[in-house]
Amino acid sequence: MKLLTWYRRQPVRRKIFIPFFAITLFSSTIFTVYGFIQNVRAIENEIDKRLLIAALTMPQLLPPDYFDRVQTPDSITEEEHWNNTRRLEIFLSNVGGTYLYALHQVSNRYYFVASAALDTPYWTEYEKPAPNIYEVQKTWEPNISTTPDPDYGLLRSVVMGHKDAAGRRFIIGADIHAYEVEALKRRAFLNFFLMGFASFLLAVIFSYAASCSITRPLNRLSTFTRRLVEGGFSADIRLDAAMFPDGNQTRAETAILAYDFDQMQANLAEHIEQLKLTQSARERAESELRIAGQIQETFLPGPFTPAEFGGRVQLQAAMKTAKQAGGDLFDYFALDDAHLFFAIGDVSGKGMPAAMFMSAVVVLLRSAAKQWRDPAEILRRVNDDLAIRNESCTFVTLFVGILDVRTGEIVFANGGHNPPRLRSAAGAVAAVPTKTNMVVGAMEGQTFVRETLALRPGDVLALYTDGVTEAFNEADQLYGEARLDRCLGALPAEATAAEILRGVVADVAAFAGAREQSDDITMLVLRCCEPAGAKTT
Amino acid sequence: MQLTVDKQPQATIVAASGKLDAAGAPELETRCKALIQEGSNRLLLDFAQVEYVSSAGLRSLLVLAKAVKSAGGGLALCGLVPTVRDVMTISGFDNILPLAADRAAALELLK
Repeated sequence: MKLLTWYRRQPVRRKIFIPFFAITLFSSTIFTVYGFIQNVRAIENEIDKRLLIAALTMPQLLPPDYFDRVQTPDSITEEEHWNNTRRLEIFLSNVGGTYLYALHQVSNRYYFVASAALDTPYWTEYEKPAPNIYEVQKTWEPNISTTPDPDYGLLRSVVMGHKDAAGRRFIIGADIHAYEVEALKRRAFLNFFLMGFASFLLAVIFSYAASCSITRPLNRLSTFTRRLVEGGFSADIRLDAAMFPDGNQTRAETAILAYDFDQMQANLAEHIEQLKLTQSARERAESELRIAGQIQETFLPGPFTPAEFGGRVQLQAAMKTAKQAGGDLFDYFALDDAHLFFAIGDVSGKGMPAAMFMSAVVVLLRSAAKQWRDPAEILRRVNDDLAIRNESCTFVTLFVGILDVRTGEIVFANGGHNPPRLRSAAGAVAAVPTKTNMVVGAMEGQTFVRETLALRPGDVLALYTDGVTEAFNEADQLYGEARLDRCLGALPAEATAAEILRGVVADVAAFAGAREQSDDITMLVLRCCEPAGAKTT
Repeated sequence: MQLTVDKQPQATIVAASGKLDAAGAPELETRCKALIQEGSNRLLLDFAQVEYVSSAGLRSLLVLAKAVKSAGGGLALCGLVPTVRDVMTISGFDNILPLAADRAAALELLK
């Protein structure tokens, strides 16, 4: 199990190489051992055959009547014996053996009567005969055995019977030292071992090369991948085309992989390029929208100075835009020493179209206000100017009023806008009752009703857009008029216009919680004050 | 914004549900414009399931009202919930769009 786990963790090259190595090792060992055993048998057979031939041939090398003449220790002259010995010795050295001899038995004693050994004179006694000497006398058939000889050591030997003309039995033997056989076997073993080792080495080198040729493209691919990541998937980093010379028209998997990889990289680079373009387009659009929002802000009036109109009126307005540039607007300015023009509005829709439309509304509203001084007439003029060829049907809800700071009287007209809230000095909050008029810019030829409202010192008029009452919280609930009224009522009676505005905005923000602001939140708060110093009218 | 279209002989009834806001308004506008293109010049919008209408929604209604008018037909709304009806009243849209209590009354208005 551990071995298997270890194997799984190895790189591909080793994964291929290790089994190759094991199989090669196993097969070369088997072949070497098998071949060696076969060869050893062949060597043994060969030696036995040689000894047999030597033993069979020996009588032919001696004079034809030689054995007939062997009778006593003096039957053969020394000269003849040595001649025979030399002949036998030459023969034996050609055949390859250690001893070649003939024995004659006389009353349980054995005498050498012929020999290839130069140190063995005629009729030398064989004092300690090897066991096979007795063995051969049972059948007189050639006896092949490995025999331990007390004087000559371990021998491989062939002994056989030979009859002379008179029918006497002689023993002919041919021996070879066992260590010579062993030397032959050792040489054979060395040959086989070297051959086996060489073939093993060749197979290992081949399998190593094969495993490398498989993993080399993989390594190149992985190097390429790393380069790709470091280079940020640049289109300039491409794979060497030599890795897939035939494109994908090949059966070599690594070439197909490399080809596919190269195609993938090309596509990837293209996608990234497109993504960058899209991203930059989006960033441009976002920045344009942000700039539009900034331009929009320049259309809004600067802060109202408390000193204006002798401190008899406080005015605070604020706009908190949603993520997209919106279409809310407010405006105020002094028409003369006694008259304050103010307006709030909400253009339908969001984004760039609404922002552009809002700018037009502000410009038209200002010029109309300066010219006509009548909210109903102002709305009628602005409506007609906007509605001409208004294909997009974008419109604006507008509440326009003119306050006479001396009397607190407001003349106003409402073009489809949310009715403002009025908080009396006593703290009661209610919607300003207004006649319903059409929104501004939708249809030409609309007329608007002129209405009036009297503010007394301490009264607060809060104008707002639906971003306030239609702010959603996380539970998808609307802020609503009721909450707005409660919030306005709960604020201290002496709270300034700025404090009231801040209070409402904070309350709406607390209500919305983590919910993203979906629409512009715009408020304009007017507070009628006691004239500074003596009470005059 | 979910829209269900039911083509009747007298008018094509579009039942809407959800919020008719900056996200929902284009859906209603596109769908109804396609219906007008197909020849349905009398549209009845059933707003019983519409919980909220923003200024963007009003703009879409205005676009559709003008489109059916130039196609020689008419547009009517029915089943408005109180908050939506308030929006219609405040914005003065009740002056240019016929509002009915239910489908039957709205079909009468479209005749």
